[in-house]
Amino acid sequence: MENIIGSQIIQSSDDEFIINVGPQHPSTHGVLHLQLKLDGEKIVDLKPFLGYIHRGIEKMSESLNYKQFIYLTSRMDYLSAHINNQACCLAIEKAIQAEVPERARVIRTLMAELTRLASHQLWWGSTGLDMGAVSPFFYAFREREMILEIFEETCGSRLTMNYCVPGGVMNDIHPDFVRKVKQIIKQFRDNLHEYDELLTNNPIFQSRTIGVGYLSREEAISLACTGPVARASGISCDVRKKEPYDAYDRVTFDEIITTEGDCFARYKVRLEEMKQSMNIIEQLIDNIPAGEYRTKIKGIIKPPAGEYYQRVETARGELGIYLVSDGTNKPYRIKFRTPNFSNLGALKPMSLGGKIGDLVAIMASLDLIIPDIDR
Amino acid sequence: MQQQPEAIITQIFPDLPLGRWAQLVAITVKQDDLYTVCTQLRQHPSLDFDMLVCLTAVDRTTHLEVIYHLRSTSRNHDLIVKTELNEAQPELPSMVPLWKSAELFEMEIYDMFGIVFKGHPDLRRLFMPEDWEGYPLRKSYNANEVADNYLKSHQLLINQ
Repeated sequence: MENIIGSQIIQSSDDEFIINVGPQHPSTHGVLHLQLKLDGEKIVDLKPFLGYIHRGIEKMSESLNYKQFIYLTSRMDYLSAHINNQACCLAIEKAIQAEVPERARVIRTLMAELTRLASHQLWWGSTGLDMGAVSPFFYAFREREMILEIFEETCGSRLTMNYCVPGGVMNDIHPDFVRKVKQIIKQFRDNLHEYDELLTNNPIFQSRTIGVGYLSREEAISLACTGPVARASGISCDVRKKEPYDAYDRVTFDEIITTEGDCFARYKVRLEEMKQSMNIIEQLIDNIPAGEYRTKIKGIIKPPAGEYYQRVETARGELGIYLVSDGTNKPYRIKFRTPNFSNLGALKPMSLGGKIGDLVAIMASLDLIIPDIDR
Repeated sequence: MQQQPEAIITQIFPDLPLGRWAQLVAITVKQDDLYTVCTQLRQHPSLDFDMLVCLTAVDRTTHLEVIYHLRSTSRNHDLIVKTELNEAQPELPSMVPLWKSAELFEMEIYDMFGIVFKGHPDLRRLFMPEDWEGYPLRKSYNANEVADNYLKSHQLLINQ
């Protein structure tokens, strides 16, 4: 029997049938189109179809100069927008060998950790939503809203902050910044027990995630998974530990690694990572060095011809920037090795042989951001 | 911190030129030897490159450069494997048997540069529509021209 869906043809026998999940499906959190081959309720085959939000950021970057293309990357993983900008700035600074003031390094790191907190809080809320629990979403947004307000005060916008510039940050922090960050950290620590009561210890949530969507260590390595997905399968891959950038070399924190490899393990890794992010913020918030927040960089940046590479840890894994310069003011070629692109590959081994209902739990635990895959 | 695999690589592949690509150790491999070299890199116990972190290509206008970024999670070292290709009929062996992450990476490179990976299980255009002409990330692809033609053919241009 032949089923023609979209432009693709999948062969199937009479017992199996094919359904499309997405591109407009609430659990895909974006325009991801999956084609599933089902045997009853069991998933036999899975194929992703991409390109619904492909904007060609890599091609667009080739026609923008070095100070402009940075801000296109905010639109890749929009929940880690600041960290994407930071990666680009670090790559450019490496290329032109610019010194970044200590104050800027610390501010960038603080902002990156706040971004990670906000991103994980949104993930936590939407995970509950995907499993049929509506209230966690409001609890998560209570704290997330405060972080976004801090961003708005200092940078002028809430999500795509465009705060990083080569050589430092755009402007100094708001006078209220330190007080408000301390306030949010205190509130979040006080409220953390609610997160456990609402989801972690919830028997319905546990039965939907424990033992579901197993990813072995070998498979995670072979699929080049990074971030919480890989750390839940027992791989040590935190770039903040392996190749510290900005101010990560002066803080102590734990890399959270578990070996269970199921959806609940990935959930726990992210929850613990939020606590570690708070640790990092607490170590830095009282020690922001005085001085300049930005070094002066020439108006037109022309890195010497050659290749440059920089990797950072976003909320979802390793973002690598491969920059090829030909000595002009525009990048000759730029490649973004985005974490979600590789993590998408893990969807198939996780869900094969499982029930179709588990797919929603698996996608929630992968925490995919589709614009980051499509670019 | 990162270790450097230079010594072992010069020992196993004495003929290969060792260089640097973005501060990472890099080797340049001929198109025909690529699969055998990669198999050795994957299987040699003291190299153990078990992760293909990234696969990308650069259009140098005279030729295409394909870059494999390998990493060993056990030995904690990185390596860049570089190969050069003719633009007219670019073909490479697929690395899917060695690293599963190659499946998506190779689809993207095929879509954007038109490099055909022989032995790939499902080589199709990943991002662009099936009937799209041209390969967007090649330097000969003029994005403005493509956009103009599209607008003209759909009568969407304001100042005709």
